[in-house]
Amino acid sequence: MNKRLITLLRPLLVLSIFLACDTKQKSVSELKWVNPISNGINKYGMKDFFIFYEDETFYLVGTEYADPFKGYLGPNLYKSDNLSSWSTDFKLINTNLIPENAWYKDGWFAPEIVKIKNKYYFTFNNRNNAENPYQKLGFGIAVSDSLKGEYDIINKNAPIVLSNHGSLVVGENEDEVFVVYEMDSRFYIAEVDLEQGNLKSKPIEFLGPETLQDNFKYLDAPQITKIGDTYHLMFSQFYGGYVVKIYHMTAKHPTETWHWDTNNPIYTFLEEEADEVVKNKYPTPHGYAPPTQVVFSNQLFKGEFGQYFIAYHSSEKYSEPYLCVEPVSIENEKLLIPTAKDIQQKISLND
Amino acid sequence: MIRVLIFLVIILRCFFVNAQIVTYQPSSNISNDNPYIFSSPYYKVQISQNNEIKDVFVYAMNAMHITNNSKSTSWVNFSFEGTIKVKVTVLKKNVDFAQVLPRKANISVAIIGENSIEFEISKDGYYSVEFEKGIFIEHPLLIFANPLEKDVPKKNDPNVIYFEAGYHEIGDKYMIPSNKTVYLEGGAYLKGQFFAENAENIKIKGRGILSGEAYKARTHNHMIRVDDSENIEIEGVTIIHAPRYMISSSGIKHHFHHIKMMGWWFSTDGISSGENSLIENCFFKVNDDAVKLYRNNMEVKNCVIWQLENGAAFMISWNGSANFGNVKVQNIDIIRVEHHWDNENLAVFAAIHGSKAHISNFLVKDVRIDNANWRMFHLVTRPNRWGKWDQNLGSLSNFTFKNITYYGEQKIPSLLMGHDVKHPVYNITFENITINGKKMLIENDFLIVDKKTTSNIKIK
Repeated sequence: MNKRLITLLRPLLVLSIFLACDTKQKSVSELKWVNPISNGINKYGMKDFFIFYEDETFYLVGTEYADPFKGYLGPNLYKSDNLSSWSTDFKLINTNLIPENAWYKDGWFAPEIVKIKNKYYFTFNNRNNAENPYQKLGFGIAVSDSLKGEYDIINKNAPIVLSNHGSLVVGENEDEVFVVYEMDSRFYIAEVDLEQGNLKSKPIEFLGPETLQDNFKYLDAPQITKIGDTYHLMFSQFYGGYVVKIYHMTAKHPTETWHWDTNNPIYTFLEEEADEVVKNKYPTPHGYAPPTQVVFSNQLFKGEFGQYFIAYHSSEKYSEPYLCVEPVSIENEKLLIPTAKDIQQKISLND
Repeated sequence: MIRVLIFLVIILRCFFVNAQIVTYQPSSNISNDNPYIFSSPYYKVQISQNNEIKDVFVYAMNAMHITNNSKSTSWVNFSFEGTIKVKVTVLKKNVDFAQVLPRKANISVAIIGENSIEFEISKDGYYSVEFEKGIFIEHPLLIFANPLEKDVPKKNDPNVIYFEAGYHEIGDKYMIPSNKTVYLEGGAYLKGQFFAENAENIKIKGRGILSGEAYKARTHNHMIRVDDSENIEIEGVTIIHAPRYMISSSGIKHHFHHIKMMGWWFSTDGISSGENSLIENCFFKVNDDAVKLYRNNMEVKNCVIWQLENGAAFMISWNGSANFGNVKVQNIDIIRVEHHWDNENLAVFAAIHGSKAHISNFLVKDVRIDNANWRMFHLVTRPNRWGKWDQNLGSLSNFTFKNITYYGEQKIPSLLMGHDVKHPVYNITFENITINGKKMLIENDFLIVDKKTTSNIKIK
């Protein structure tokens, strides 16, 4: 009788063990994705990605390539709960309402979203292509009570500063906000008045040939993230032969001395690693324009499980750039990317 | 006696006439199994003079880069004197349109039957035979009609490195010592690269081919690199499949002439020469800057250029750090410009000057641009990632562009702009610039001029 019962219960036992194992698997939280990520973002390409994590959702902005048939369709806010697939219903600025002669008519390069005192600030680097074609870009800020906008431009009359890759950094407290930007291959910083939309202090060069000496080549795409009491600066430099190197430095305050990470360069990108397959059709043969000079933007951000990541774009050299995200570890103010440039990426956290 | 004299005159005349066309046999490596160079499946070419007809071997190579617009290039290479008739037979389609460029040569083409054309050439030069209209040609055919060779070196001369007709592998860095002449006999095919440094009195000449076919883009050196050397002459050879520049030289007194250059990759620039150099009677079909005008006292004349999708026909500076100038460019035929991206280096004449040199005194005249849809001029000072930007120094000044003839539409306008007032562009004169026969009278006709950073811009 017992044997028969055991025989009858054996499948149930096996099932129980299986379910127990399955329950155990579910206790490991895991997020997997494949770089580069293109699902749901601008199919003609995006770069200078900036990811903002709030309420267990990833939000993303970036430099968006124009649709060759329809023109520029941004600036959009994309969202995702898994990094792999994105969607957008939110156009952050109603570009149709911008006056024809506005200085910020075109561009939306290297946009970012920063939350300060419960307001959201959308920043961008623009110009007016009709009135000032090929001129320097200007830095602008728009504000909204809601992450999803719409945002109102604060500095409608003039750029806060002429800049490439302008970026806001919160100082010791939220009363102290700085703009960090690149101009003429050097990095500058100045305090910003968010109410007035202008500078509170004169820009000072904080990185350049004098400070970096032999490590200086041509500084690109500064991006600063505060972690604990330390500010982390990411930037890139382009070298002949189409080599891009990504660097990391730290400081205790954005206006104080920056310290070189001895792990530098954090990673290096070579031309032969570039994807050569153009993903879209264009109005003319070979319509995708490979840039002459490659600039890599890298953003350090906090995401799921308190994990830090970098966001950057895949190579724009011969095909449309898309989103790449990689987890990073930071120890003793040194930054390490354990799976740098791997296609398959994941993070997991045991409960 | 008279009969004997007449006989001798006839014999001598026959000999003389036969000597007026010299063709070359292809080397053994050129076959349909070779992806880098093979017998053209697209064209057959015959040339004739005084009723004597010669078949000319038609070389072909396939495009190498994903952004190339042509799928192949075919060409013939011969030397001649006098007047010849060229007959081209198109092997894969019928002919309903045909033209021969440069436009300036004014060559009349007769269509014969369904798939052949004939035309005459009476002057040595480089000709593009075209059966398609528009900027992009799927299968170009080029006629390299060289002058007869002069001063052919002797094989047994101890100062001559003689490559006979046939296939030769010379390696990545074939060193050429001072006082040597390297001769590539017509029909010689050399795979590899030449190098010299701190040398003098070197010649590379002949009608042979130098190929970098084994090298991917930017993985190897320039095809001919001559560093810090004086009195260098390169003449007559054809250079193909370069991984970087066709010729890069530094030093003084360099003379480049009758060289044919064809490359596909980005960074396959044409010639970057030393000071006091003369570049003349050369042909460029390259995918980066054809001619670098980077040194003092350069002169470029009588050249034919087919500019592929990347690079400028004439690049003036990315990163010039020492002041330079006194440069002359004249009598140039730019038969095709394939630019179609809004990149800063895409213009016939380009400077994206990002270093501290004051660059001045350029005279550019008698330039004909036969087919283009992009801008002629992009002259700016601006920091770039190849230059070392100086916050106070760097300018472009005293340029004259005279008699520039352009056929096509500038889909993006030319641009003159300084980065700021410390890096100005000034004293620039445009004289007799025509687009499709219409003379440009004011800036707005063809130029964007930044008023804050430029001055004394004249349109005549």
